[in-house]
Amino acid sequence: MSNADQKVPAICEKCLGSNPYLKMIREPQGDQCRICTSTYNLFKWNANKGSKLSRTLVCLECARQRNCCQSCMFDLTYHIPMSLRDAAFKIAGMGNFHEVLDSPNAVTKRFNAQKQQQKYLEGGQPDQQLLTDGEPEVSEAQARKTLDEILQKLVQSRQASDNSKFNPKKENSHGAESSNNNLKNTDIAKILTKLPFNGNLTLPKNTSITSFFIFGINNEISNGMVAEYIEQKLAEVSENKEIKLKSIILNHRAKCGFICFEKRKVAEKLSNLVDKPRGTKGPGIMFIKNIPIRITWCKVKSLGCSSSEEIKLGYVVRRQMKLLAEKDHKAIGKKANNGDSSSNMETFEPPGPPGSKSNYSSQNGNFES
Amino acid sequence: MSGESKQDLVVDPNISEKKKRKKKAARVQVDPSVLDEDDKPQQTGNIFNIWYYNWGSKENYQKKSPFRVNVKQDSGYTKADKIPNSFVCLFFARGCCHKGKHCDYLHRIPNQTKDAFPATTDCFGRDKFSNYRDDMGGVGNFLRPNRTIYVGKLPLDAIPRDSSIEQVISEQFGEFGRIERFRVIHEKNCAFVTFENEWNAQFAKEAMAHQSLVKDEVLNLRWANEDPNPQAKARNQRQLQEQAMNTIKNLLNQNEQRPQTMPKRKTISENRNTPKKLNDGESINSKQISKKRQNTFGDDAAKPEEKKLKSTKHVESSGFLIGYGSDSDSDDDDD
Repeated sequence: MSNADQKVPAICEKCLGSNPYLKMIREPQGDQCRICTSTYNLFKWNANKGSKLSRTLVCLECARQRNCCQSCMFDLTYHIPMSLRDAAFKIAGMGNFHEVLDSPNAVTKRFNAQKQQQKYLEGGQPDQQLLTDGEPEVSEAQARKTLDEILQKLVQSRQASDNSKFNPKKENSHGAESSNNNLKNTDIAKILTKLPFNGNLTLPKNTSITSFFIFGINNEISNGMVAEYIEQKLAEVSENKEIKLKSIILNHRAKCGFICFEKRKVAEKLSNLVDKPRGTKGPGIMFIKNIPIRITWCKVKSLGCSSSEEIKLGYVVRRQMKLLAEKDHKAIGKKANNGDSSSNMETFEPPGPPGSKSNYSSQNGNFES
Repeated sequence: MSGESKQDLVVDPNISEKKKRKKKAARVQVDPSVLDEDDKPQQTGNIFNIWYYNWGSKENYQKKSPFRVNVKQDSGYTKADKIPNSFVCLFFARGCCHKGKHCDYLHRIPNQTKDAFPATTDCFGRDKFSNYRDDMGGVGNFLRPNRTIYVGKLPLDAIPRDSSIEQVISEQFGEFGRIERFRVIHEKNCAFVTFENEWNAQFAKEAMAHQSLVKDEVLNLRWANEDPNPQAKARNQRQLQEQAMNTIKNLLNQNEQRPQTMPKRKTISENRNTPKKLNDGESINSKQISKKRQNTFGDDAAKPEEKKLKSTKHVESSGFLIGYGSDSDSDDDDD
């Protein structure tokens, strides 16, 4: 059997290290393959001087099937993890010979491995054969071409998904919990009374409050993104050491969360940096990844004890965001009409045609003031 | 090797030149004299199970751990910081490493950007397996990178009034790395915590296992299954897509700049009578070798076996040497 005569393992350059004079130990039938649990020739070597002993983990057949290195299990052609390679090919819609479905059952694994080995020895399709005499099957140029193709297709599919992002039907697919009956019966009045949807960013007199209530978050926003944003903003005004986020709590179903700081000072700095579209009247607004998020001072409260409560809260948040957006728009409109150019709020309005920004009194539509 | 004592002044280029920062040595977490000499566990039952190495049944196994790691206090400099590619100390994560700065493993949380452990092991160096355990415990699966931990047996009743379970989770798990998101399911008394990085997830799983959040309950940490929520699935798809795109872009860029020529390796000419499908040493010509060496890229879907071993190739197995002599054995420079 070819297995027993294997002299050289199938490994990538990185695993071999930099030393051209490499000593390798071979143990025929030395270990059990991690994937198919059959015995295979084990190879061990020291990649770099003083580094840990590297060894092969899977048998040659399994590696061949998946086109991966026997020890690090990265793809041999592209040097990326197998899962990434499979995902890339899948999303690009291109055929991938090397994607293998693994079954959890030990017996099935061995059977599959055996089958594969037979197929190989009998000669299978030429492009599935990895080990052929002569030139390598996937030459460098070819590999680049495939990569380019995949990249193009990935970009295309990403654009397509971006365009079709707003899908109202999908938004409501929360599953069985959101069935209308449940939502009608859940009462979130208690929770709502405690949450300051119309709160503002005036410094609370109670100095023990060092946390903010934020709402309007999307499924996309992760804790990490919020943390990054805050650190960025605070880095502009204070040294690194002072920024101490105690915790960030985001409840994506309820579309709201809390940001807690350890020190009141830092919290105050953040509240100063955040945009306040209506001054002290309404909640401040932040834009994280182009998604508007409202922020007010608040102590950490409960956001619901069951999924249906959270989902209902999410609906309330959406409605509230719309209301607030309308209010803000009106307020900005008023300010602009009064010739008040001092509000430096970020808006999404694209710059108008030339001449639209000039405020002639004759153009003033606000005859009441 | 005593260079890592507290007396060392190491200038960290990231900090302003005015301050010189002392790198803190890792703290000894447990007094070694407190630990038993032999590792036989204390008797808590009647029958000793020699397979699982404990007394009695699973219930006894689910005990609260007497140790706990405090990342701020305990992390620091160890021997392993000088050695590249070292792993993180498992006992440090569990709070019971008695070696302190002499430990051969790292005493810190895995760094998101700098640390890169091989895909086939976890951050502690333990090998991953090809599928999950039935109870989703232990080390994970190398075929599916998993950054999400399932946290069971949450003490939802025991939370103090002025705080919430979300706060507690966020604070305590946040110690071990950047949390990407977490979701508490009150009905089931459980939570799913997703980290930005799988190494941090592995560390947190070991660090928080058998610990309690509030008082005395024992958490049950396991690897999480894939999120069945279609929104989450779509989100994960998109993330994977982004990742794939970035890696491909990097690959393409990498290849445009010719990488530095790695030392050329030549295989030992091998025995002629290798079986049909495998490549012979003779089919490699020097042109192919140099082509291979220039680029890590086209490295061989076709010829994974050709990997270069020069001259001395020790073959040790049950005491017999396989001769590698061959006709064209001109490259026989023995070191």
